[in-house]
Amino acid sequence: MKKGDEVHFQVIFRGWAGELLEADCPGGTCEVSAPQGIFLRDFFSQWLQGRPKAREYFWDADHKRFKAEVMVILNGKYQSPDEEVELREGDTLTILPVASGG
Amino acid sequence: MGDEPIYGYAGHLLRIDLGREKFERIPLSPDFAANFIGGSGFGAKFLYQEVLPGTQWSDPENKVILSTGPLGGSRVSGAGTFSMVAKGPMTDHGGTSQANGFFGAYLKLAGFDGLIIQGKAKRPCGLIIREGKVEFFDARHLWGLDTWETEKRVRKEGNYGRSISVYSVGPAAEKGVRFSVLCGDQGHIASKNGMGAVLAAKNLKALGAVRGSHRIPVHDEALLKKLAEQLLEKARTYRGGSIHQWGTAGIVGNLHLAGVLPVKNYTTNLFPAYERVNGQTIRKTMQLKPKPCWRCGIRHLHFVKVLDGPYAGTTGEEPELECVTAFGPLIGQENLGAIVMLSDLVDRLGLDANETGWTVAWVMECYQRGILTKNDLDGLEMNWGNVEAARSLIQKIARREGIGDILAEGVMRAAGKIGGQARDCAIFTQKGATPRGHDHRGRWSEMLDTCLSTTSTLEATGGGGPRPELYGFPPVKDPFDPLETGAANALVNGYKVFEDSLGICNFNAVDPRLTLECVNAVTNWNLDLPGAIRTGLKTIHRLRMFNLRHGQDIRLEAPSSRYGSTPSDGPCQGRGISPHWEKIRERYYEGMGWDKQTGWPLAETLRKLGLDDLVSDLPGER
Repeated sequence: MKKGDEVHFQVIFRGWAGELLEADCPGGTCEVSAPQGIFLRDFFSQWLQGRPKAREYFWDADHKRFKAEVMVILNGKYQSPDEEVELREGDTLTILPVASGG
Repeated sequence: MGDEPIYGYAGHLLRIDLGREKFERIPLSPDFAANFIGGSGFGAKFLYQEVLPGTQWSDPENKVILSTGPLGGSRVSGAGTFSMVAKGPMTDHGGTSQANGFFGAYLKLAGFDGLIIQGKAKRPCGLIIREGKVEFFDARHLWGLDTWETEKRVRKEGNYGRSISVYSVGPAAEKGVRFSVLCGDQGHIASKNGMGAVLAAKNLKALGAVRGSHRIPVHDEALLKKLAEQLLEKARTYRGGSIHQWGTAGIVGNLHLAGVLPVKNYTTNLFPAYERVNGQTIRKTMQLKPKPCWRCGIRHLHFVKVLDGPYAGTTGEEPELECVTAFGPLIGQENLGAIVMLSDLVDRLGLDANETGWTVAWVMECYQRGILTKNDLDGLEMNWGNVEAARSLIQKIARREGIGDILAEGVMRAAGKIGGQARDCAIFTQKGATPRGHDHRGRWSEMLDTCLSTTSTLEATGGGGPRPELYGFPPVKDPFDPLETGAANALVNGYKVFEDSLGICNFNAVDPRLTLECVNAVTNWNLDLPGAIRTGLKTIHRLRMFNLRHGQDIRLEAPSSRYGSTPSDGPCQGRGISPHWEKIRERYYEGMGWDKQTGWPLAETLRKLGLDDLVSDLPGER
């Protein structure tokens, strides 16, 4: 793939989401390249293919979306993974485990 | 009835008449246990049956039903929990509140599954429950003491050592502060709907349960052992083991990044210093001593000692998330030692940390904006982050002194009294229930739940949302979709209230199916998830009917203007719930089987749940 055909962005997995992916993303942070024009949900669907443990925790394969256990933040704003959002050069995606406590 | 052992139960309830200093042992029947389970289920049953419309929360005729459940006192991790049910002063209606520690387990080992406390003592009194009996004692010398000191004195005077669990009310309850709590086992709190005020109105200062020799029959001990180990392992590793490793405050950072951390009375969602006040920093910078509840293997709580900074030397219970949010970001301060100090202060005075936080933060905003002046506040300069001013204000509230007398009524009533712009920036539910320590503008399901709940606190949700996938339904697609929010809350409602009937801490009951298997191993029932949800729904409908019969106005099932406002920054910027509120509420009513206009349960809904006995209490059915 030619350089111009790709976008580069950062993916941050917080908390236990990061711990699950420690081998792939030391410290929970990954620099990622993907084909230009890729949508958020398609990116994760593909990216998690080779990471079965993380896929089992995060991804609802039937509905092709994140499970309610995680929340997606794109450039500091909540993002529904179901909307057709195109990832762009320099984006930051944060994957947060849903959290609540007494 | 009552002679044959019932698996999972001590076999008796205890009715205590404070005015007459008498008690009665009420045998449980297997049918009663299976129908009402325990905890909130027992409480709703007796509240509905015995507290009649017209009764006020402070009347001797109001009753407090405090019960454990079939897992209480068992080998299951964290099974020392109890649930209290009463008509309470925050909502002026029925509600429930739970606390952990040891009391639930010791109560069963003393021979009882629950207490029905009624009447009013002639003078401050205390109760000791021991080996199938109750001892009344004169507690005038304890009146005025804080909750930790009261506990210490009761323990020492009876020479009980660690064999007793003591819960008490603090000075705030004695003064009738509406958001006063019942506190015990050094820092565990039944915090919601002013349960402390209800007990203090009955002149009950303290109650203790002595660990006794009563044997609780378990149907299949070997199976329970295996299942309890599996459930504990699930609880320990749940969501990456965060609670076990970092305590409930370990999620402060994620709440901030998700836009759910309450900051400066909802004036912003940005709190860059969040890492200074999270659980990870507590664990790394403070002296810790484990403080587990009954048989708890998660052991998420500690005693802490602050080691540096202006509050070095301060000790107390490790602040839970809700204390961290209340006395950190919500009031605009980032000193962890101050959070420990203020958390300890409210526990000792017997105040609900959530409502105290909303109150202090609201006063601070009013002061910053000139709505309240130093003169109005008895000379206090309530700037954001002024910890010492917050400390003084909290003490004034507990004593109902000066401005504290108005604030002791809680945010909703105090804001109503001051009015104008002050009311517009106050965070409350129109029914008076206290929101938990989150910014629910980023979690619509929990705002809906807080405003519509019959329990006075979260009822359908908890744990970050409704999570229908746990019960075999598809996961929520969009947490900001109005129709989906209303539908999902109704879809899952029932299970959490069922869980509050079991006598187990919800940080341990992380897997509903495995929890149910434990219940079945103990009781020899054959309960499945739909059955558990249905049982919880019965309790919810009893409480709903109780509240409506006692005059609750469904027009008040809504957030205050600020609580339902639109975030102006942060991850959820621009996502406002208020324009959708009517639609969400209607969808929820529909899902629950309630009349969309009046909010009353439909007769067919009650019949479907087997609550035919309540149908005649519906308007127009008499």
